Amino acid sequence: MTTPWVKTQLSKPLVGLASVALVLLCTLFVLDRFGRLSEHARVTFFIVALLLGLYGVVRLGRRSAALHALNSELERRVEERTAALAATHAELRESKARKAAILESSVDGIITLDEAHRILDFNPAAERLFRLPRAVALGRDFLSLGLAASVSPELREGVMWALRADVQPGRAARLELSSVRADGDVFPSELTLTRVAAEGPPRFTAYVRDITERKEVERMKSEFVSVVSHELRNPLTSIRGSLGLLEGGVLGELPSPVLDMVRIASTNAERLIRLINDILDLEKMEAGKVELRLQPVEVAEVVEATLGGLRGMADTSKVELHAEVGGTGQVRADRDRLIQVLTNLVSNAIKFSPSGGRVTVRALSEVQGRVRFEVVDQGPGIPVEKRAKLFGRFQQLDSPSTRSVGGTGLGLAISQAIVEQHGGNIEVQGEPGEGATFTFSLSAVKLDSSSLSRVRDESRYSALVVTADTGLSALLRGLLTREGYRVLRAGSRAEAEKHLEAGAPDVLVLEARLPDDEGLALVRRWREEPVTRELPVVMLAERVPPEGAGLPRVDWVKRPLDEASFLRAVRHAIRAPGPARVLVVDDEAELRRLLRSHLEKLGAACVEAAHGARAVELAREAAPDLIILDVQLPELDGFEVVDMLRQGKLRGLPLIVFTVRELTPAELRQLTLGTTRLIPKGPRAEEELLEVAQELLGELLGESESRRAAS
Amino acid sequence: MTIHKVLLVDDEEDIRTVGHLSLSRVGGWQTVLAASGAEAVSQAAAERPDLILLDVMMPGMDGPTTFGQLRAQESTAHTPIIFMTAKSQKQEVASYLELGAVGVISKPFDPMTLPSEIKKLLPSS
Repeated sequence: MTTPWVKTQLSKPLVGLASVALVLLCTLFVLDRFGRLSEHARVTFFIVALLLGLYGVVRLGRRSAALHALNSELERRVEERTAALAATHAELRESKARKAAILESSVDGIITLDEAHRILDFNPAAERLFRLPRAVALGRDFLSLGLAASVSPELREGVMWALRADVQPGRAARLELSSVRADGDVFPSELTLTRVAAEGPPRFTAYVRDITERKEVERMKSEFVSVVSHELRNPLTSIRGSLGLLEGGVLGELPSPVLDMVRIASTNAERLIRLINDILDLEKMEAGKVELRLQPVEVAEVVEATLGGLRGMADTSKVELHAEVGGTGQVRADRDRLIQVLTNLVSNAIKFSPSGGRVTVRALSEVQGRVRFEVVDQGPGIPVEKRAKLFGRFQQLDSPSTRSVGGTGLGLAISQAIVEQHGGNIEVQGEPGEGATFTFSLSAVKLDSSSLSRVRDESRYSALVVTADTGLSALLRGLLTREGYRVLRAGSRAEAEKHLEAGAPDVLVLEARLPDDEGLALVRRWREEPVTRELPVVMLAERVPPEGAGLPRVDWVKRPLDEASFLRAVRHAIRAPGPARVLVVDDEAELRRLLRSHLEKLGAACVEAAHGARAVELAREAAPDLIILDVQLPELDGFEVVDMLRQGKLRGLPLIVFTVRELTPAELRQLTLGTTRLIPKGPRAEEELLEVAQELLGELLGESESRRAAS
Repeated sequence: MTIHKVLLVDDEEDIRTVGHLSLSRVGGWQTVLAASGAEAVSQAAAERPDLILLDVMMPGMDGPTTFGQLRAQESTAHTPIIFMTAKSQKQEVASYLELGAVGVISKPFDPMTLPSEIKKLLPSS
């Protein structure tokens, strides 16, 4: 192969030198023939020609040696290349064989698809899985083969989404669904779809795995957990039951040391029950069996509900609870589960706080459309080396005080699982000695009309608070939330109108001066719109203008705000017009008649109920402005009446509990609606009752003739 | 509705004892006991209780089967029935309500509040 090149390289200088020597010899011969040259010149000519010839021969020799070396080098290289090429070929063959072996021996069905979902390749496992020979499968539509008819439209859409032409190569989509074999047999399958990273038209690989066995194991595990839980709960029912009856004094009073022992046993029985419930809860979370009911959730309301449930615990531990949640709006979450997480974090924070310490729950809007929750305590903090273990099962840190921590050690693991299911992660920060901060973030809900219409909750009254004053806004939200209202907030006219587009609230609380408009003019304009024509308004102003009275269904409340009169104004704004309505619930007809006559003299309209069930019925038919309730009643007793009214819009109703029964503080807490007063029946009790009724009904009683007559 | 007499059905004697004390002493109701589904069906016909508390997992005839037999029997076709279960999965609770039970009480129950929990589950009129 190299010879022609070598020849060319050799011949070039040789021809040059030979030509020069030849020309010299020819010139010598011609000049000699014509006798023109002297002997001396002839000799000179001859020597020069000879030297040139000699030089040429030497050069030729050298070049020839160099060329020879070059030739050997080239041949060596060629050999090397040839060997490398052969190795690559062998590797390729081997790799191909390996790939073929993988495809051949894979337990998973591996199927190559084109962009129209037609089958291009079908490995032996796929043949076995679908009971279909490769030759028959090639060219068939994968979707009709891989997906059983029972597969839901959503899952089907998920498959189509993973097989679209513009999907990123290398990103796998994994789905669990049902596939169907050629003989019609349906089996549970795990399908992994990925686009092949290669030039040319899109190609996809589908990995199909038969998960019949896995499903069976999951079913058995779930059955096992359920049976075990049953087997544990039954004996616990007897233990807790016996102890509960002893502790409750049902079997007679116990001597104090015995009662102490019973309490210890009872507390630990309760702890065991919590533990079993937590294990089951965690088991369900980790098996992905807990379906979250995701919906827009008001951050402020959730934080308030959490802290409300933990105030007793905080008071006992002398720890102050504090919330900072200004303007964070809504997050997309399962409300109950979010409260469970926050309750866990806050109760941990309380347990590890020193007496007189403070626990802060903070919610902050983040730029990426998320809301970050922080639970900050002033406890001892958590050493870095213990943080990783913190979220594991049965992990408990030592409490700084002698207070029993008393948890199950599963709370953080459960909380972490819940937050993870929401697409977040709980993290812990803070230097030892400087307290601990637990944080996690959830997706915020954008303020649009569709999300607003979804959060309408018929069991409560909704109030839209419009003010640019963030402090006032937070105060009103707190007040109204505590009274059971669902609170929407807006900082400007524009924001308020966005809310109103989604539907009118039950009441509008409006600051007289807004950055982008003036309250009164705004109300006048809204009154022209069909949705807001009848909307009751509570206007907050430092000065009540005389013309304010001219606008129907607008109540004025003076700032600075008196909380009680503000809440009363809101309640009165929502109520149907007419005189004050009082529902008197007592099984003594004589007493009902007496109270009725007194109340009517005050200008109120009375309805009477002789038993609890009738009371609930009447209250739901037309919301009263006040309930006077006896506790011992036939049908449903006072506790049950309050329980039922708490479920709906009447939870903020003023209530006077009027009873001969002595109530424990716990019972009294159970008997609470809105503003609640207890008046024990007895001499002169009626007088006190009427005074309190007047106070609670306020201006609803009006300046009627009858009231003047009564006073 | 007013309750005078309750039939408590559970295969575990200890739970029957605890339940009996709770229903009679805390609730103030006359309480009749049955240890199996079959016994429940005959006791219910003889005693005509105002309410039946029925355990779910019992050997032989389980709760839902007993429920079916009680409904098929004329004298107990309309007696309110509350299931008691040691499992508390939501779909399980839903399935009992679908059967026509007035409610489900989960075990372990608190004997001091069991009667008021029962009252909450019953229709108010």
